[in-house]
Amino acid sequence: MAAAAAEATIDGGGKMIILISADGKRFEVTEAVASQSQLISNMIEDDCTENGVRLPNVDGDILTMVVDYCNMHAGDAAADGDTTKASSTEELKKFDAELVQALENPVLFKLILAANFLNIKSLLDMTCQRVADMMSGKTPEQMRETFSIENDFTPEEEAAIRQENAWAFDD
Amino acid sequence: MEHLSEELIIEILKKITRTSDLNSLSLVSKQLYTIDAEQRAAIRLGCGLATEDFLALCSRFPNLLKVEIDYSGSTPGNGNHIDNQGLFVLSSCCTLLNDITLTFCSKINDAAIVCLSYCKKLISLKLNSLPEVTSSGLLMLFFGCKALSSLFINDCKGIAGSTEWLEYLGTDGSLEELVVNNCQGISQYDFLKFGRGWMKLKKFEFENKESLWKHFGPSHDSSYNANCVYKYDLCCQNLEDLRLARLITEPEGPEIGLRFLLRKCKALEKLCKLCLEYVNGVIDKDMIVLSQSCKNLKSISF
Repeated sequence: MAAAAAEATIDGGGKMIILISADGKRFEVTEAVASQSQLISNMIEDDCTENGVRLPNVDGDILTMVVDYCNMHAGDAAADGDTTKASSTEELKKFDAELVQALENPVLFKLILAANFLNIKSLLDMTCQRVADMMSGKTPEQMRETFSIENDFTPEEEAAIRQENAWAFDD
Repeated sequence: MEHLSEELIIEILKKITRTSDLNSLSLVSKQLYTIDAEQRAAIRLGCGLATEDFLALCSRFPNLLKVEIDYSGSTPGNGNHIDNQGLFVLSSCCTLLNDITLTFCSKINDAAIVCLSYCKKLISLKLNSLPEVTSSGLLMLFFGCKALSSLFINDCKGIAGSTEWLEYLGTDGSLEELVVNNCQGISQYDFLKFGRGWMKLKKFEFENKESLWKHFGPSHDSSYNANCVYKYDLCCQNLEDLRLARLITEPEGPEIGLRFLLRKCKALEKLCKLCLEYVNGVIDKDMIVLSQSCKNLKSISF
């Protein structure tokens, strides 16, 4: 069945390939959609996708998000000059914002790892930006709490850094 | 977050732009402190920093690209000001620096300015209200910093007399932006010594010091020397942005000064922004010639 799907084509979508998550879930996507991942794009070039692409370090629920993202953004590269693009840009922004804002931290970090592994730059940028935004305006204590990071400074070390930091100021 | 590699944490840190957020981040854990210290590219410092703390800061952020030290609004007694030693430490610890701004640093002189020549990658330098810095300090600095492309000097009264620094910059430098404002020791005629340097220049600004300028006062620029032969055979074909303020030139007669730039119109085809404020001596002919050949002029103000 996988082989049949791999040979199948849809209107304007080109060849289909199968992505297989760590927990065995299968996702059927067009090559154009999957090529947003530089990793998979390279595999397609090397003709290594015939029996499906196994992604042993990406869980099914994370891969669902990645595939949703890639499906939404598949038009990005191809649709330059398309007059309908202005409206879809708005839609994409909304989709992206909703995608990252709804995520709990552990899931967000898994998505960063998946974007990095699959080498999807726009998704990596967006998810890293989300973490940076979550740090904005927070005290060190709040940052530790938000991201469950343990404080490994001694009180003396912390005081010394605070003193140094006092001199470096914003515009 | 502990599952993320250092490379990914760097990706996140690059997206944090506010210094206060980076400062907070550096206090979260040792790992984040170390990564921030290696990645921090820009820093802005004000008054109150003791020399030993400054040393600590410089060695903490070895990869700084941009440093701004601004003591405006504080007097030397009101906290410690960076001295020559401080600038020596900065330029020897942070050799990647490409953008330095010094404002109201009352304790530094030529010795400090010369230290900056360790920063071989220096591209942009802004000197604001540094009374002790002189022409010879500048010359030594330019010997070291060959990549300098933007120079901004404001209110530095010690730069006077010798124009060797301008001659050197004109011959061996790669300046694209030159801004000189409110320096009583630098006259419009000094820039004629900039020679070949005019060819590369894209932006030029010159403004005389306000106290020297009395709107209803002098009809003559005292820096003009009737015994000197001024050469105006200079090319400035890349000049795009020109601002001249508080200049006195002669409409007819030998005191042409920087008004010569307007007559170089043919070479000024790329000029797209022109600003003339209180420039005495500009005549209609200057403007007519200018308007005829500066086809790209987008903005003009008087």
